[in-house]
Amino acid sequence: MSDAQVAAALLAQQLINGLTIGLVYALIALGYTMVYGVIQLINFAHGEVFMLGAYLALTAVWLLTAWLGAPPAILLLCGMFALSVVGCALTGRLIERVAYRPLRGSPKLTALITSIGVSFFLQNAVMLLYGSREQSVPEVLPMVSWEVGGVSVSGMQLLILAVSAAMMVGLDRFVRRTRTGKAMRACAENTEAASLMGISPDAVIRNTFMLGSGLAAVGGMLFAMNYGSVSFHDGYLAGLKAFTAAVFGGIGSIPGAMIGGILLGVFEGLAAGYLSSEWKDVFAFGLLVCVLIFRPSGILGENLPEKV
Amino acid sequence: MNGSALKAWWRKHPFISQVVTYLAPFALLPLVHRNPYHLDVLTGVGIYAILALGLNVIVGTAGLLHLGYAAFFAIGAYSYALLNIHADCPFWLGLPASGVAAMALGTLIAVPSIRVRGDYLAITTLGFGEIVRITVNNLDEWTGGPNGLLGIDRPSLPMHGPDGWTLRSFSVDPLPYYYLVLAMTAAIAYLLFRLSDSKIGRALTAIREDELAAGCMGVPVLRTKITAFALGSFIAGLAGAVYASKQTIISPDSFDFVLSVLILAMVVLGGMGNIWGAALGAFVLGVLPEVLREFAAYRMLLFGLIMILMMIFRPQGILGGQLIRRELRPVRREVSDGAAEVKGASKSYGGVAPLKNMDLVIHAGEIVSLIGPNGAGKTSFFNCVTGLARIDAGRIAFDGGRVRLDGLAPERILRAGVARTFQNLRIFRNMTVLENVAIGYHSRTRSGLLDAILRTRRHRVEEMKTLRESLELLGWIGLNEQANEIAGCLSYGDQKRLEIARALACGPRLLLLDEPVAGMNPTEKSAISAVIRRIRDRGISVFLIEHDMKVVMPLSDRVVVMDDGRKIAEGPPDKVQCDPRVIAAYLGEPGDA
Amino acid sequence: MTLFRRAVLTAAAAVVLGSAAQPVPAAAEERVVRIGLVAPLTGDQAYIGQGCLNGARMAVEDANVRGPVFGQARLELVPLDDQHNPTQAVLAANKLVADPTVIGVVGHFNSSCTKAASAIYHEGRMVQVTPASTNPEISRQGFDTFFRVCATDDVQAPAAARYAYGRLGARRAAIIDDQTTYGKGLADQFEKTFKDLGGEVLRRDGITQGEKDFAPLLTRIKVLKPELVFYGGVYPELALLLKQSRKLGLKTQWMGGDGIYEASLIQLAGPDVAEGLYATMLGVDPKTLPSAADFVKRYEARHGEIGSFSTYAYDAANVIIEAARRAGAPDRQAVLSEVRATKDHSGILGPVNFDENGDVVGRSVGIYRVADGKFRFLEEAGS
Repeated sequence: MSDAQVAAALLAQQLINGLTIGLVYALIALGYTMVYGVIQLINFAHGEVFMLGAYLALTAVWLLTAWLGAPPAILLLCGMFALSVVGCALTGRLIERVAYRPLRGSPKLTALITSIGVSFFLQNAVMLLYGSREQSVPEVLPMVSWEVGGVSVSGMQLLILAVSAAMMVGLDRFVRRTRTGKAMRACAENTEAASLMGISPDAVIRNTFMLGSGLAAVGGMLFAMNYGSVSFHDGYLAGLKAFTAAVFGGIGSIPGAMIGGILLGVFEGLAAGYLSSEWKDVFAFGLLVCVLIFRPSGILGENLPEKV
Repeated sequence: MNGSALKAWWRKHPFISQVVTYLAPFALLPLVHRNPYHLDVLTGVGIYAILALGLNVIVGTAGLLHLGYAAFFAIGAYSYALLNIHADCPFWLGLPASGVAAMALGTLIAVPSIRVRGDYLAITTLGFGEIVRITVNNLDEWTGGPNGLLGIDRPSLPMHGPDGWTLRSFSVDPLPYYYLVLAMTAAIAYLLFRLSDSKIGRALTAIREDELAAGCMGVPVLRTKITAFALGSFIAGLAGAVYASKQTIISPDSFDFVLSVLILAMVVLGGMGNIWGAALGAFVLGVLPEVLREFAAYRMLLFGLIMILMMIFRPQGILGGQLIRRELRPVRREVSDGAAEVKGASKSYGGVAPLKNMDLVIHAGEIVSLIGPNGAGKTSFFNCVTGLARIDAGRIAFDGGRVRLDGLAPERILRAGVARTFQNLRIFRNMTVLENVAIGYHSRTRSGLLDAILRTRRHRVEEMKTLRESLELLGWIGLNEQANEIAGCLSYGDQKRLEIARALACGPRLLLLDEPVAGMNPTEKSAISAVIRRIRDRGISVFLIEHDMKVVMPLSDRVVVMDDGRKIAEGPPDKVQCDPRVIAAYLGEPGDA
Repeated sequence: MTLFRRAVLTAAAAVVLGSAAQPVPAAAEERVVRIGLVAPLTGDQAYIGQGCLNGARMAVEDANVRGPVFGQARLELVPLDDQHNPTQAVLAANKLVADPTVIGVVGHFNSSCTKAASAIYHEGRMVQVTPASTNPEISRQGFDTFFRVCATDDVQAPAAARYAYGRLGARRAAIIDDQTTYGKGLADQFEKTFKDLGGEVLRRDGITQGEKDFAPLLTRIKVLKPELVFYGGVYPELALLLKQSRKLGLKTQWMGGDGIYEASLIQLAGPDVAEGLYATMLGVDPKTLPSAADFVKRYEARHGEIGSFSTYAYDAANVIIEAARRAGAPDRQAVLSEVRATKDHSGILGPVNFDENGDVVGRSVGIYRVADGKFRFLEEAGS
């Protein structure tokens, strides 16, 4: 292949890699953005919920393999999906009820500190339960990849693409067409008015947490399958990056979270590939800081001034 | 000094007495208990305490959530280490240098970040903290990378021995460090106490209470916040130098996010804004892991749990977030007055147009009322005049056309001579009545941070003047009995009065009052009307928004009527009352309910 | 200030004074002499630290069984946790130095911690023998209290480079490190030797511990077509690197140091992905040494799978114990002198002699290769 072709293939490869991780970021970012939209809280513990999703998916594989010996892939996938989504949704609901609900009227800073406490607690609970070592995730799907013109695409990447797209389309439908979804949007716009219309903010907030956690769980499951190993400190960094993505795309905006996630994944991948891998996280954090300072409303968000 | 004089002095200097009382046990401890390990742990606690005190300035006093504090600690440590290794800089010189280096970085980070909203600021500082840590880890040639730096010198002191004066360096024995850290903690605590009871401390509290109102009362909000940030960073730098000299080896993994959260937890645990709270938090969270060594595996679990429980059950911390207050007695003095003149101008807005081509003139010594239906744009008009909103076209001028107000920040407009109150009452609820009024004098005095901490002559003179004149103002408006009460405890009517007093303390020549009698009973209303007249009699023009015609009509020299962003009528009260357009839009027939 | 606050602050002061009620540990209790063991006992490297702890403890128990070291005194192990954090390491070191019954320490594990603590032990004149820290700089500081029973990175990494160049015929290599003291040191040494031999280093890059996604980096490397990729670091990240490079179609020879010599690596990466991986390891596999057979058997009966450094910890502890026996008195200076004078101490990993820097002499480096799902010993690294 000529030099230009090599360069083009390299670029294409980096873009595909970035897109893959970006989709996972997007799934996590959705949870951040939805919760922030409804109660203006940065849920620091959300990254740990994602990590828990990965662990629950792994647990499902262990359990099914122990019971059934060699279950078919489709059964494993369903089991992983079910256990991680249900487990995380319940965890999210529990966290909201126990740690955030009592602080509903408090200053933002108080709730933020609490969420940091929850994240530490969760991270350590998982470490104590599952051990501090990395855990390997058994192959659920056969590892296949195709090489096209110097660019390789794996089956796993396609699966991530398919599942994420399905999740996002599903979410969009849910938020726009269903009653619960519309209630969520109403609350995000104006909680007081919504409650005057007979929408219970408690129920909406509960549903938002469950939904966001469920999406993060799917992200965790895909993450575990893609990298083949899970560790209790996966949540911290992925959580921060997903938050960056949510703000980048416009906090409170669902399409914003999706776009932000994908763009961040690609940007990070290009920076790591073309500049230096050592400074990868600095680029991500640098982007975070720049967005927060210069354009906190993000790409798709709106500027909400304070009422005097 | 005899016994009673000593007692009197002790009572007169509450800061010194507290510092001595609470830290004396630590100073005396090594005389009875020499276990070096325990002293070592307490020295570590002392370094934490210094860090907590510094972070307390940023988080507690100024109310800026900071999740990247460990980065400044790191800068301090690395600064001293590099100066020592490459330039043989001795510790006592390196100590202030580290503080300055950390302060420089802190200011650099604060300047762009400080505009960012509360919870976002937290994440911004987190991002900066991580950037600093990773950068230090990656720049091998300069910082030693993950290996870090070693061979850092310990502090040395001149000692008198058999060979005369020699320079003896600290060793692994923790005792000298123990006293060094204790002395630093005492000194920093004392200086921070002085800060809290000063003009700058008051300004910081006001910013924390209600940033917008503080800005409208003349406090340079951004600059003050940056000052607090810089001071907190300076203290972290000092702690870093001490840490580096004690460890003699430093590496990036000592300065991670978990440390930032730990220091924050210390501040929160003890009580945000409370200086002793920060020290107590450092003690508890520094000693606990040592005491609970068997449970080390559950350390982070317990830590997270403590944070959650604290925030739910006692968010104000163990000691609560109050500072020492000075009590004051009233003193008589005269307040000077001045003249004002405003020439109105045309203005308009795009999109939704709360103001469509408004013209207005206010003459010196006039009381002008602005009335109109809800949504007419009255408060928007106020906001434009006071700098909370910008007009798209037209001009607002003041002082005979000499000063242009449109485009200026609220603080500048205030200094030009325009003050205001708010429709939804924005007093500083947790400060005393006297402190609320004293804020008004912030822009009229010149002392700054250094003056406050070092108690220079300028600061003392200005503070006396400020507090005296504030009391005088309170007396004038009828609130001097409540001077030392917490503002939030006053009756609604008194709070409205307080807000007016605070605005007057700014020394305006034009006073804007946004619904000054809303929600009051008739007695209170007539009392406020009387106050407004007296204000006018002192030469201050008054421009007010009101809905109660029984107050507006007798009080005003002129009435301006707005509807849908436009002025629809203007003139003396009786003429306006009969204007058919006004009746149609707003008033209804005289005799209508 | 309110009464409540006064009370709280007074109580805090009282706690401080109350600790004065504890008796100061008197000069050596006649009955007990202690040896310290410091390693990461909690946190993500706990399994390795526990392995060292078990080894050291067995040494102490064996010594007590053989007979008292000093007169009537019983020997005891003091385990301390440094959580692979240098600040904690210094704190632990201070604690040990302050305790007059402690005559020596086995520790620490991580190079960054060992280095930080070494200054404290030096000032406290306490002998320190590390079982596992391989960073060469620690022994170059001129601390006469520091000793080491394992090979150093400046032996290990050049051996790897020589093997790669000479035996594997690699001329173009890429190098990745995990940005830790250990990993970077190893990678630096490899790079230097490889270049000295005439090899070309195509790319040198760093990753962060805990990172998961190496696709950008590997994509970059793939284009350069290296014949070998050397990894300086511990195994979890390498497992991911191997798997992801397989997915990306990066075909090359992989090699690492003792940090990747773990059965868990093969388990994480999968046997077929790890197949063909080379690693250097300090010394030869203890299971192949007759001198270690008994220890290995006893360890596995008691604790299960033997840790990679359990044998080293055992040897390190025994160096101190034997020196203490020769010294005859629980005096730190005497024990220190005897450790320095150690000659042909028969450790289970071979005879122990120290050079002038405190490094053990003659410790070999072994070359291993993953075959059929396990690390197989190939040969001892030549010079």
